[in-house]
Amino acid sequence: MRITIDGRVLETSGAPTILDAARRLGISIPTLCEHRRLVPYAACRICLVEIAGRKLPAPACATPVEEGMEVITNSPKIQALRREVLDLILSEHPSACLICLEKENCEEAKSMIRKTGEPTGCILCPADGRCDLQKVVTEVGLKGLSHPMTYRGSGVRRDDPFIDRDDGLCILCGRCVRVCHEIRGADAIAFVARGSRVTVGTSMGKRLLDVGCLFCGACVDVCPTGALTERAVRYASKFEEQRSFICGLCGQGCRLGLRLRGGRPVDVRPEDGSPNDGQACVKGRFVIGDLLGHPKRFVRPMVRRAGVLVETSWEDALAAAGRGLAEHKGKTAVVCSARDSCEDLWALGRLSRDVLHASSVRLAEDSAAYLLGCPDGAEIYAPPMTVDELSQARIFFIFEESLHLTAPIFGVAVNQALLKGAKLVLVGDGEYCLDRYAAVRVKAGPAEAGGFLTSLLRVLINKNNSHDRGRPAGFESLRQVLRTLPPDSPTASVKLDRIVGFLEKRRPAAFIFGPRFVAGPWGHRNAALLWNLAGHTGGLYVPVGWEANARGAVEIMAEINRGAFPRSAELNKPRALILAGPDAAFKRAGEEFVVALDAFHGDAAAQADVVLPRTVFAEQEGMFVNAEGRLQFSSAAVTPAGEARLIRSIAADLARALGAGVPALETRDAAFKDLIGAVPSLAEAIRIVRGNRPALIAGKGFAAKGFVDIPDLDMTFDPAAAFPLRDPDDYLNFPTALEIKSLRTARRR
Amino acid sequence: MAEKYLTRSFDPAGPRSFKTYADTGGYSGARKALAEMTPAMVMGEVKAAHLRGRGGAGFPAGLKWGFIPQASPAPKYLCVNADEGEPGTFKDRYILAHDPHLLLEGVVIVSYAVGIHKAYVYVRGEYEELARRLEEAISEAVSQGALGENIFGSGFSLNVLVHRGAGAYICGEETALLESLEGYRGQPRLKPPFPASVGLFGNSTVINNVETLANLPGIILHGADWFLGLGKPKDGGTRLYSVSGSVVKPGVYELPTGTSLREIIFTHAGGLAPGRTLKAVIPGGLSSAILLPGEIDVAMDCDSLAAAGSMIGSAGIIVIDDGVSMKTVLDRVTKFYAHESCGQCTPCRVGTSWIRRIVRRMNGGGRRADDLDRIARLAEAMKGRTFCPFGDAAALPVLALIGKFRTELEG
Ligand SMILES: Cc1cc2nc3c(=O)[nH]c(=O)nc-3n(C[C@H](O)[C@H](O)[C@H](O)COP(=O)(O)O)c2cc1C
Ligand code: SF4
Ligand code: SF4
Ligand code: FES
Repeated sequence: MRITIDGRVLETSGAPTILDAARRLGISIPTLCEHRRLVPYAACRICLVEIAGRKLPAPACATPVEEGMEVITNSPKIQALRREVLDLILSEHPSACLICLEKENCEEAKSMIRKTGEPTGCILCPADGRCDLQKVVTEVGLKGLSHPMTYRGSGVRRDDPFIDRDDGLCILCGRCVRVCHEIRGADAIAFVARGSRVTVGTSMGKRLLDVGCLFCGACVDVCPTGALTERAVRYASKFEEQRSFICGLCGQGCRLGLRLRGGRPVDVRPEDGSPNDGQACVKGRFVIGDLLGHPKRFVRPMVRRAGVLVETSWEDALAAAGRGLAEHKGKTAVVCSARDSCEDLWALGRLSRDVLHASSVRLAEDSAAYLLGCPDGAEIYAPPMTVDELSQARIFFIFEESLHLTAPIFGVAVNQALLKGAKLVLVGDGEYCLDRYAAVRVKAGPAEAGGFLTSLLRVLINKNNSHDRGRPAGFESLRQVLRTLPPDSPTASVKLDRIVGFLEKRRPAAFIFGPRFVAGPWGHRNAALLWNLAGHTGGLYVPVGWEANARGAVEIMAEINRGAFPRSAELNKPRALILAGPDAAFKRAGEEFVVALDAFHGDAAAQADVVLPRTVFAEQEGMFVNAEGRLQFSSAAVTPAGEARLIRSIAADLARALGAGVPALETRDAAFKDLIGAVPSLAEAIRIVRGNRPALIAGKGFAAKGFVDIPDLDMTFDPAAAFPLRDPDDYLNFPTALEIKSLRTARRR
Repeated sequence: MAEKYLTRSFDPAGPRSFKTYADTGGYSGARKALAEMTPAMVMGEVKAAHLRGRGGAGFPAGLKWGFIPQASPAPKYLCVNADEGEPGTFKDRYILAHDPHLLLEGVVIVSYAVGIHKAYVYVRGEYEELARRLEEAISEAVSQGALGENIFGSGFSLNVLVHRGAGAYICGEETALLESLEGYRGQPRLKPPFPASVGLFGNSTVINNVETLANLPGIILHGADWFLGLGKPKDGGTRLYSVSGSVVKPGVYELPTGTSLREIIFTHAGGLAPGRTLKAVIPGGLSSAILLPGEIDVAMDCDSLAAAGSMIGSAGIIVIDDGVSMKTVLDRVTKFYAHESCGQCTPCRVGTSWIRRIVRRMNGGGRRADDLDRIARLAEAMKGRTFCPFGDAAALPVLALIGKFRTELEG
């Protein structure tokens, strides 16, 4: 297709709108309501352009390009038109900051504090300096206003956590309303009233807390003005640099940007690109700043003296730890965390295996192993999957997950598919954010869902509509097994009929489940059933690891343990313990010596003999594999709090303190080489990343694995009892996050 | 006396039942279409009749239906626009009140022509009683086999549902109507895509005014030529003119398209009250440009009124006599549009509200020399730049008023 803009010719196939085409030519058209990820809205009318042969100007943001189209974006007529539209916009918005006559001298004049109550513009606006409207005013070159400014004057609403709302600064571009609906599916905010009284509001004017707001902050991020702002940074929002890191608060692996001023965090903004593409959640968006500088951070090592933990130097603490651990070589247990980077886990693993000869090394989040395949770690078969693929699914089965909380980015993908007409089957015995979208609701917890899944699988297999894969391995034996099971109750089959009906018309399906669903005696069976269902329907098998590196951690632990995950009973035996994972329920039971590698004061660390302060994500670099299976590198965005050290360095320190330094752990490069030499799946993925493609850690996949047997319930093993699963709502194991007051309020919705 | 079709056997006593309607030849158009014609033939006949929409835009109905993709297996919908929000217009309610089956017969015909099996009638919120009557008529028709499954034994099925609006003028705009029907806030959608391709619930949708559809039985029964013979060559049939204001006999008059405005006012509506002289006429609902007494020989059809710088719109004729101050008219007009703007796009939201504020100040005695120019500038800034045609509807009457009554408004 060939179009002309301002006399310049563009040959294009992939530019849907005039605005896209103009941007490709480097021609700037001012915009306000347009946003990259949102459906064109064409309401602000600032982007109007002329099209040859058309009587009326057209909005560039929403007008599709057509063959031979001739567009003019900068004629005097268009410029005048823009000024008029902007003039109108500014008559509803404080304009001192925008067209103030002293604007040029503002920096010098700033010493004169102006007494304005509400931000009526100028230096008191929370968006001063990063406001899209300011930019548009400059671009359009507006010099004066023909209407008096009318400030809506409804005051700043501050009755919600995190977010301040100031209607007086709103230009009604609708970006916030649209992102809340189109991307997040929360529909918490909407336009209310009509005409000049329109505002962005909530149902019946309630607080965001009471209308299903997720506090994901997406609205704040898209607001072009200061109408929606993060309260904590309202008047400190100017930043000097932005550093990218990977969020460690759940398994999605969001790329976030930490904005810094004078080296200190100001706020966090989600970054564009995979996997989260500009989205985050309440944790990543609002909590990290507080987390990094939390008063409960350990900033110096501590040792127990006369029964009391006292601060000390690293030498002293390491020496104490070395002495204590040396006494219990071979009888030490090590608890790691699936939140930590591959390098950290590997270092702890080597320390445990090669120096301490530990009696066990395990993940605090034991369910992670269940999620990804066999609990014995022998074989990881969950294939990788991307958020994009997920958003293409046409029917979703979600088990026991409140996706908006546990996997917010998957939640976004699901929402977008649902808006496009996909169906949702929601299985679980609780209440979930997605309830209102469910086409079929199956009230069954993890213990009961097996029956439902078995019936569904049997119906599908008997219909024999296997997804065009021939007869994968295990098909016949599975069919035999299913035959022997008792028939379904008639009530269950009504819902099954509907689901089977959906599945006939809608493919692919996606089966999304979290640790809850595969923990407990029924866990292994549930996972096998889901695996078979996903394989049989050609759908996506989507285990949602809650931890930042669940997938990488399982790979590494498998390697460290070489197929021998210890069972819970053994945990009672160890004489010493290294606690490097978040075990909120930890009760010291007979261990003679406990070393905690921890970042925050808490119950577990309080029982330790030595506390070594560790860094948290955003302070450290490392490799993480998210719930998609995507391998990502995170860099350190801020310097560590106090004297905190990386787990990897602490492991090396401890090895040295035990008199058996591991050369492979001494330098960063050596450690890295050692790791990828030992774990082939990581090595393969890193090779791909170096080739600049996204790397997904591949499990075996259905084609290779085929159907799996449906195991009996394993009544002897109950990981849920051994390591109680946390409430998904507790913002995932950063205990101190719970102490952030506003987050606590936010949870109570 | 010109031939009446739509209102030929209206019973002043109340709505006609299925029986009285059928006894006077009702549903024979639908029967004929279903029994003797293919959908293509029905559509062809309506195209030939050049039936123009009675809702405001005057778009030929047959042409509009032709945009519906026929091959697609997805469901198609009909939305009957019974929102009747245009000030000065009260003809759709006339049909709903007196002859709901006339509308339903039209609904069957269009649905058959286009292949629609589900129709919604979006009834203005205030028409609570009419919506109830319409529902009664629907159940009556279903019980008589004129709606529902297998209509008149033809194998064609159609369900009709009534949906009541919640009282916003903008919901008469076809895409805002769709939003409202889907349960969202009534606010226009971006076009393209047009409802014919992406309409209700994302599917192809026909939207027509009540009166437009009420014309279909006649067209099918008597043919396109008969229809064109009633009115003008490119604008056939009769129209329901709603006449209000300073006339002796305000009301709804069915007259051929193209009847002159003067004839409607003076011959049919009884002229002005004794002692009153004509000052101005709004010919096609509040959104149309006002006409001076010297301009009322214009024929009431789409093209003639467009040539006269106004529009036929919904044919809501508001007659203004010399006792009425144009300041009051300006006040009413601007108040209405400021109140009804949906607030989505900048020029309309801010423009209507500023015009309103300036008018209020002027009429409150705080007039400034450049007020009318400011208003005109604001109206110009809305014209052709808004998201939906509401902006034009709000700007044009204001510009016409200022153009034609400047001296009085300035006084
Ligand atoms: C602001 C606005 C209000 C409208 N209100 C109505 C209305 O109340 N009733 C109506 O039939 N059409 C109304 N229309 C016209 C409709 O958008 C649409 O053109 C009409 O329903 C199509 O039907 P027709 O082709 O049969 O006339 C309105 C249009 C606009 C822009
Ligand atoms: S609050 Fe911000 S994003 Fe929302 S409509 Fe107003 S200016 Fe636009
Ligand atoms: S022109 Fe008016 S009614 Fe139409 S979209 Fe814009 S604000 Fe809404
Ligand atoms: S950016 Fe195009 S209308 Fe707002």
